[in-house]
Amino acid sequence: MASNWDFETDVLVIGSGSAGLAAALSARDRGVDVTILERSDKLGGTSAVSGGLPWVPNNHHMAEIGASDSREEALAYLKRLSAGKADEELCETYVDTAPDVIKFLEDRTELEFVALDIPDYHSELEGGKTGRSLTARVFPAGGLGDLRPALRMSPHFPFPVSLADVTDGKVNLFDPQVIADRLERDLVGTGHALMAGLIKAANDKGIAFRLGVRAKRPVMEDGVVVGIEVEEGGATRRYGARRGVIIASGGFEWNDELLKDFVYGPTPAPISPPINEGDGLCIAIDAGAELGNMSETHYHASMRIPGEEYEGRQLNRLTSAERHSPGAIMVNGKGRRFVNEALSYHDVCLAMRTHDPQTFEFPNARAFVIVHGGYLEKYTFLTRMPGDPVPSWLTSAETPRELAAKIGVDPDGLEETIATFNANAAKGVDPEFRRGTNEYDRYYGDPDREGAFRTLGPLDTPPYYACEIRVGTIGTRGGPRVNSQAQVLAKGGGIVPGLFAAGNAMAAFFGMSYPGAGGTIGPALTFGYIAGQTAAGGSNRF
Amino acid sequence: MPEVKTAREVRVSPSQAWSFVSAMDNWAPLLTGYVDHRVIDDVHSEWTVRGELAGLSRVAKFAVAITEWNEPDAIAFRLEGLDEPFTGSGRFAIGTGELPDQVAESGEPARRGLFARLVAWITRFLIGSRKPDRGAPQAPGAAASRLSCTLEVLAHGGSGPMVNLLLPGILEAVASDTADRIVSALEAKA
Repeated sequence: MASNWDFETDVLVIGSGSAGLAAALSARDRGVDVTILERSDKLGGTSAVSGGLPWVPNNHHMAEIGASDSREEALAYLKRLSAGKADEELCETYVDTAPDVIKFLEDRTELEFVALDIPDYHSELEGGKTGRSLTARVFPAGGLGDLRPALRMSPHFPFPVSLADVTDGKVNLFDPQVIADRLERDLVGTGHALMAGLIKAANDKGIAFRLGVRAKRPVMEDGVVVGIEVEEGGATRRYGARRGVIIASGGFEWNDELLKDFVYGPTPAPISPPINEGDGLCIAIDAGAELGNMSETHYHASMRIPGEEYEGRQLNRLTSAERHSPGAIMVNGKGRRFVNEALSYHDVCLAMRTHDPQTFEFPNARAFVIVHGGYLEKYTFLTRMPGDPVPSWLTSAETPRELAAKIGVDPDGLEETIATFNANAAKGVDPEFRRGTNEYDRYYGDPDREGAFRTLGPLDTPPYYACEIRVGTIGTRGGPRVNSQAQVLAKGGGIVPGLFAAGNAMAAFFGMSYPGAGGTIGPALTFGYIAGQTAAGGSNRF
Repeated sequence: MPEVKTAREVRVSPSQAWSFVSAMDNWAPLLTGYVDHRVIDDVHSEWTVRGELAGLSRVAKFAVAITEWNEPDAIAFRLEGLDEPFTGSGRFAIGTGELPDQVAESGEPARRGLFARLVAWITRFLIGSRKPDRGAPQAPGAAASRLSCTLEVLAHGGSGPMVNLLLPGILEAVASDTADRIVSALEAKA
């Protein structure tokens, strides 16, 4: 077997996001030596900058909010959304395993999960539910000790708030003193909380973290992956893995070449940290893996504030209120609406990626959110809060025609669109796109309004404002295909022995769908957990 | 209003210090996050800086107006955000002799309660548990001038209360780092 290792361990995990940490914890739980490689100087991966919600059907916290679920309903929902592209076997594995993963994490870490009342993104469809999205409560990051400075912080969620706080309704999150007290106690929320809890548990259990180590290619012997060649401190080194290598290094959304090769349509703007360049995908390809779902990503309609950067790259911001609130619409270059703006961030992007074979263009890829003065008086717009001055990155004009001219949109189209939308919105209807008819449409709307009016309202108070909205992505979701044991499948049949995959690095089994909030982290935790178990249970290869 | 005070001993004469500080172009590029500045007239200028917090950086533009010009020992100014809702003021002062201990500690004794806790949190947020490197201590009695700076900034609008939570630590880091650079530049010129 291969020798001359610079470092040896039983299970080598590539990546320190939720998939990697779940893999490490479950492997360690089987008593083996585990090491996590992280290419950057920060731990937490994409999960740390996210909302940190796992979507877990039939989880044991649903009953606490009066919700119920079943295996059959969850599978029916996933099948309904799959458009025939889901891997049904893996869907079953996921639905059967994910609830136990949450129990495992609650038992082996200090994390405490809470079910949220966020509806599935298509709760109106067969098997759709409320309560499958979980969140961790705020977590004391000070417990990370020496690893505390290495916890990746989010540009999207800088304050120590958990969505559980919103559900609980017990604290006033707008009170600066509340936030200050939490800061003083070094509490963190959202994805920080999830990852701080996982990292602390891993550290406590003796799992090793090696930062600044970038996995480059597999070390194989007789068709078996026995280690990884890495770049570390400017040198090439060999890390041996006696029981297996788990790829959990995120997607390839920051690799322009891979995006161009695999993802159809407008290039999505990444919302994740700029470390996701497909390192794991390249390793899997080198090892002879079979790839799957390569053309799909977890889309998220995003907007930019000029001059904002995260780790030296343009920051693409998440959108929510800007699409869901009354008095906001999205239009394309013709000034026309093309989608129910209050659909999920993923589904909105599916409409933005529509191709017109007649003109051979993507007519909705260049789109704008349009709001009016009344919107800015009441709702947030990216980082601009009600009462703040109107920032220069919002284009403004006194009339829709004038605004259209400024942003290069057809004036007649925009004027007509706003007039039509306003007439219907005043009645609480949207005959064109049925916005407001679904539970999810209304969830992120104005809680002070009722029914469809939570998301529908006319744009009738000048001035009018516009901001470009883009096809964005939280992460790609194509990669090596795996079986129900998270073992990487080989081209031509069988598996690649010693190689496992989880998270955004593996071929997602949902196909093109995004079932609900946490639809990335739920599967990441679950298949990470499975990969860790399988790897730890394997034979010792050297 | 979030406020920081910082002071440094500098081994140049007060007149040399004044000559350097009174010409904006000398020290503008030494400001932490400096992008550019534009002098409009003797009193007014516009500045662009890039602020960074835990990986996220953002450009802020603000207008500065000189409100006091007492040659050879003090300049005061007022500032106002152009894109962001904040206002503030500041003052450079040049004195003689060594620094009293309490001033050399960058206003530490004035910190109490919420402010002190937030500075501690921001420091941890920015650099972990590592203490800021303030450079080598100066030799006792070597200083010929004392350069001090006071900066107050208050965020307004809907986001003001939250932004004000973050400002003290940011201002502390900016003032301290900028002061260190100015001292180095002054002494290098001397």
